Amino acid sequence: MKRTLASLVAVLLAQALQAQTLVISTLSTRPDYHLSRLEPIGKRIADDLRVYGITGVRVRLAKDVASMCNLFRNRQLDWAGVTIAAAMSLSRDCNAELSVRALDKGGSTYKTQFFSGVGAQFKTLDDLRSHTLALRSKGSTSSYFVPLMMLKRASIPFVVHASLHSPKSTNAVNVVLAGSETNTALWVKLGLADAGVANSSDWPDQLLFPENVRKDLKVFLSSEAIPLGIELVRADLPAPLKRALTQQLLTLHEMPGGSALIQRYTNAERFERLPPALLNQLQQYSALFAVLE
Amino acid sequence: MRLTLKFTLLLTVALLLALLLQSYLMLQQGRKLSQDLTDIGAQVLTQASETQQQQRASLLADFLAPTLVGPVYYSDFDGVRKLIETALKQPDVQYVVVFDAEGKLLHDGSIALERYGQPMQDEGAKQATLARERITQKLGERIEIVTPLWVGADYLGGFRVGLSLANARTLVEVENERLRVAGQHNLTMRTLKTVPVLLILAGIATLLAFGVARGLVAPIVKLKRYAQALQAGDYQRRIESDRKDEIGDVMQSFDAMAQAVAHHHEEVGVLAFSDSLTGLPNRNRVKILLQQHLSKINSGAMAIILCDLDDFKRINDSLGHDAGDLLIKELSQRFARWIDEHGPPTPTQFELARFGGDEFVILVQGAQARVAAERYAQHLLSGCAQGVQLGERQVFITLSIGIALYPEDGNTVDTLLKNADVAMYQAKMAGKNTLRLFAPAMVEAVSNRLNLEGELRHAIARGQLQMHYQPLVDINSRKIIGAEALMRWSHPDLGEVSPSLFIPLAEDTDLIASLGEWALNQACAQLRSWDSQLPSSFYLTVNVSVRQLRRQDMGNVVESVLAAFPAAGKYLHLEITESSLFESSVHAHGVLERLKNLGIGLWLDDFGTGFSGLSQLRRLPVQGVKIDKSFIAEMARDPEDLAITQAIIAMAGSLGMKVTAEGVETEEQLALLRERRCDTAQGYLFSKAVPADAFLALLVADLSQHSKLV
Repeated sequence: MKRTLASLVAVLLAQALQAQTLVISTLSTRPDYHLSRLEPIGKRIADDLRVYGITGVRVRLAKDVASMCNLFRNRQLDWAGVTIAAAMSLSRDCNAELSVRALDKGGSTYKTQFFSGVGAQFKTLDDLRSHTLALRSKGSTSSYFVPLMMLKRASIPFVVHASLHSPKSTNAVNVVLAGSETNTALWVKLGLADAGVANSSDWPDQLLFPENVRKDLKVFLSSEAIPLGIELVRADLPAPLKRALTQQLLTLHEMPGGSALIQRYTNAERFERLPPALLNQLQQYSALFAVLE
Repeated sequence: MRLTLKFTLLLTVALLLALLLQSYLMLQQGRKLSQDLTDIGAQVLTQASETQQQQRASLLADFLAPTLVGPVYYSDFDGVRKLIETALKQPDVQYVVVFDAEGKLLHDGSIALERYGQPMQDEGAKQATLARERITQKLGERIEIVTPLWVGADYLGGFRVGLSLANARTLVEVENERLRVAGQHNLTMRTLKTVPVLLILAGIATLLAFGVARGLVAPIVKLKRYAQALQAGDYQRRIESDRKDEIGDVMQSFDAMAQAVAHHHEEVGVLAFSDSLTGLPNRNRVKILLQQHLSKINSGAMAIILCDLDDFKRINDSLGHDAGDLLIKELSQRFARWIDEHGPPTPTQFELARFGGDEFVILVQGAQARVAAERYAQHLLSGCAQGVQLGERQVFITLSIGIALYPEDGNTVDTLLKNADVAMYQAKMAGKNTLRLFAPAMVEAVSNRLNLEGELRHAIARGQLQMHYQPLVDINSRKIIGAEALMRWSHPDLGEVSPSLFIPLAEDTDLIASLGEWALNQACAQLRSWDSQLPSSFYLTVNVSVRQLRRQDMGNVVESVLAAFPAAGKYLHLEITESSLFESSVHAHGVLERLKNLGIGLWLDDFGTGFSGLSQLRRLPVQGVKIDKSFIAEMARDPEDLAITQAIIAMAGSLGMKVTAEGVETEEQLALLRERRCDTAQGYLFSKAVPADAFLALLVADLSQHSKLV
């Protein structure tokens, strides 16, 4: 009995201690880059939440959805900003819940763009049958879930190949995973793939799509508007803290220096509550994404 | 420069040159070694840098090979590029290119991959394409590692990593330069370190050189000191050396030579201080003895007897030098013997020496020196009067002796000797064969005589001499039949100088020869001017001195004078003193014969004072004799003189010679002479000697008077 009581006290104490540090994260293959973006806004929010026992902030980046899922499930993560595909997955299975979305001047969405070599004649998704379509990687909202979701909706069969060298289907779209935006573009440019996709907000990025590569490519199709990132909070955060955190995010752009922190965090102007229409859209996506996963 | 210094410098310079040469060679060797080390170092560094670059390339390839396989296999150009970018960031990595199994370019690290799919055609591409295991290629200034990429048995292609050797080369060059500088520095330091060593060696070299030079020069210095000692008269010193080398030989030879010199010096010393003829101490010895005596603190009284043989030259000239030497030797023995026989008892000391040719000096020391000296001098005078036997001939010699006393007459060697000489000179002046003690007044007398001699030497040139003529008168008729030419000296300051004063002075010097010749010329010139007024029987006699007669060329002189005045020959007669004839007997006869052959009438002057025997007189080619005036002067009162005069007249008459009486001053003398059949007279009774004009007047008057009588 005594031993059981002692264990309970220890757990509660640990929880209390954990609650004192706000842990934030995002999915990242470039930890340094994202750390510098997350840390300033995390410190500000943590400061504002001091009355809730928050004494500091800690950034724990996750390399993929599975890792982040573990962090949420183990209560080692309190707040994370992710794309909608990840948000759907994590909120569905990983002790996370949707909180707010980022909103910038141009709106709160982006598009998935289909591109090919400048000499190619692709115009529709159907034109891609028997051709090779280079996507970035599994888990990518804009460069995996959305294009495949579009093929699915259009009922165009596709086969995801393990490598470029796999035998190609003559009826379906032969999907190959390039691993990165640059590879996607290079494969198309060098003719290893016939078409590729890119996030419309990434397309002008010189690092991802260098000009001297992009000049040999052309966009021939774009998706519908897709929401920008969704902020997740741990589902089992204490309710007052969860509410206070959401509230802080929603009002941060009104605070001095707040907009700059948001801009630096996610290229957006402010956060807003998820509109009902978006929630519907997300519900649809969630079903399709679940299939594609 | 001293020999030691020279040798030291020479040897030092030689040793220093050797040291410098050695140092130079060592430095050169050091430079070459340093250069060789630098070259080897460069080679090693180059090799090491190449090896290092190769190792680095291999390490890079080791890193890239496993990481590239995946991206290449999956055509992950982005992944490949990032790996290549990472590799290119490594120093010296020039390129990393990935190629496929066909050798086509897969990735060169560029973003746009413009060369993708192009076959590689650069240097080394072929070997890279064919490589199925890692190979290393050296391509110009780079090292390339080619690594094939395999997935299981599938050959994917490979990648080439090229590392530049330029930086390595630069590094090598830098290191090489550092090595060179270090080598140079090392060399400089070594050189600098060598300097003190060189200086020490130079010092040692100098000391060694000095030691060697001293070793060489020391015997020379020793010889020099020895020579100086010899020079200073130290003949007792011996040079000793136990050296067995050439220098030892030289020193032994030098010692032997020095001993010989010492021996000779001793001989020379004996010769220098003794007279070779008599063995007596010589002039030098006399001076030393005198000096030694004067140097004594309490030097006692001393007398210096200077003894000069009268007319010693006459002996030499007439009997020859051997006879003169014999005489000197004999006299020296006598003098020595007389010291032993007649010298006063000690403490008076006598020291007999030969002072010069015919001079002896006797030093008499002791409290009674003066008395002893005078006594001894008198003994010398009287002793010599006995004559000296030279072989078969007896020679009579007289002495003139001067005595000077110390300390009264001087306190230096020279003064004492000079004063003794003055005293002796006075004795000579006093008619010889006597002694004189020095008196200060003598100095003036000698001085006067010397002055007179000086004046006489210039008398002819200054026209102070004239010839006077004294008539020669026939005793019976009192007619002037000739004249004697007599020299007179009229000095502007001294007035008329007596012939008795200056003729002996001229006789004592060589002046008589020139005076005689001058007189002969004057007489002949006068005869020529009188020629027309002289009776044919007239004759003029001119005196010829003994010195003129001694001259072999007397005949030539007369001959040349007669050649100049041919008219004079028939009137000219010469007078020769009896004593001079005796003194010049060796040559006289030949000269007289020659003069007679020239038609010159000859007379013996001062006859009766010499030692001519009748037999001698008979052999002489003379016309007549002139009886010395000393006989005439006392003839009237001294029967002995009258007897001698008479004997002379008789003897001459028996030989067919004429006789002239000199110094006839009274009628009584004239009468006596006439009674004894003397032929001619001359003297103040008739006329003193008068100048030429006066004589001519006398002659003319006499001729005139006698012509009237006739």
